[in-house]
Amino acid sequence: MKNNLIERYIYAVTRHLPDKEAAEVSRELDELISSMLDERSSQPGTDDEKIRGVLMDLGSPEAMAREYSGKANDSLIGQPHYSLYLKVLKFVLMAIAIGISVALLVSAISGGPYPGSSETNAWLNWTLEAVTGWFTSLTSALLGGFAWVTIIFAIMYHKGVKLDYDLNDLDDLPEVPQEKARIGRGELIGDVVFTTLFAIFFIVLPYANLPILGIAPKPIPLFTPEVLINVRYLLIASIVTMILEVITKFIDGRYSLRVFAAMTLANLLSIITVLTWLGNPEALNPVFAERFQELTGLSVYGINGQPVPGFGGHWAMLPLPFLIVIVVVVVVSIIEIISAGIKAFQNRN
Amino acid sequence: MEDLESNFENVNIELRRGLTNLVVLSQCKQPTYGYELVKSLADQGFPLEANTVYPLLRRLEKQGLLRSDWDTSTDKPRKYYQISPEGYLFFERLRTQWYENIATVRKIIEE
Repeated sequence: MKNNLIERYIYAVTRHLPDKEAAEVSRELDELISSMLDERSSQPGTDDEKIRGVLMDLGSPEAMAREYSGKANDSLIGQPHYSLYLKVLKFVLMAIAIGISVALLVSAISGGPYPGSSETNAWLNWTLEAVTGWFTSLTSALLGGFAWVTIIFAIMYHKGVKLDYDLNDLDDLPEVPQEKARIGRGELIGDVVFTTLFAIFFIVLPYANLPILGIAPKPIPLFTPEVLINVRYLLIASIVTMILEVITKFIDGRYSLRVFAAMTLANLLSIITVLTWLGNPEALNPVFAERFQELTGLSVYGINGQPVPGFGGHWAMLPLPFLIVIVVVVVVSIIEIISAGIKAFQNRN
Repeated sequence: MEDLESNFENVNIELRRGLTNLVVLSQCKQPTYGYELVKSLADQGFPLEANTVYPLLRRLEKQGLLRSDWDTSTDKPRKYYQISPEGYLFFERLRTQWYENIATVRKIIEE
């Protein structure tokens, strides 16, 4: 009868090997152990002691199993992917933490108890709810982000996706970016946070968009949800181009021609989106406008009901803050495109 | 000093690790089984642990450099390994390369 200890040792070595291989390796190890025992047959000691001695000499079953499985890339994510993985992971987790925190802060503030609420401990309940909500959302979002980045990099590593440059194309090695053409970490994080917030408020939660605290017993959305939903495809296209912009910025790390192209696309779409959406006279929720006028006595359209000088047609009678946002977005977008273009072309030469 | 000593051992192990394939292939010109190989290498002054030799033999077989046969004619069945024709060519190349390496390195370190 085979000794139980030997069987257990062999099982420990072979249990994670493919079935066919496990059978063969078991047979081999059996042969090895019996040869080693034969050699010690004339030595003093009980059989059990000899068996223990042999197995101790063979060393840890895990180490032996590793030798047998003999895979070179037996890690989840190895180099060179690991370095980039760490970089991307830190970046994504940081962006998620900031994005979720800001989004929940804003939604908590807008969902706060209105003044004179009859609920007991209204503020305490609200704070507790906000903190728990923040904690659970943050935990699940961070875990989700971690899982996705890890899965993507593990697949890239095991599929052997190339990250480094082929030495046949030495000339393709990227230029060392000039100091002013470099894209800073801060700018990237800013972009990601902005994109996240934008997506959450306008695409995921069109009915919960920035209601203003305490303006009514029930929060009133600032933007007309129906108008917001009508421009949904434009908003989604904007988000996609913003994400593309962030990805190209992350990969290139400097104002390259690709980054310039991505920024141009994203900014042009922002201009089109803001003109279509905020340029719609019904973009501002009429209920909100009415309530605002009731409370303050001021009209939100034009400059307190008067056309804004210098603007014609329906533009002159848009809510003044919207008009300001439109002008700012258009001007800033154009400046961004031009400055990225200048940096990209200077860097090229 | 102890650190230097263990460092020396590590470097020595690394040096020998690269040679295990060459040495093991050289010992398989005649059919041989794993434990016989372990003992003969130890006798010749190139000791390798059984837990290194057995997996290595399997890897070399998977790579087509060795062939194996179970001898079940005795009451103790044994798996005998022997070098394949491809394995022999591989071994010859490796050996020539090793001699060249020794000559080159010797020139470098003795000057």
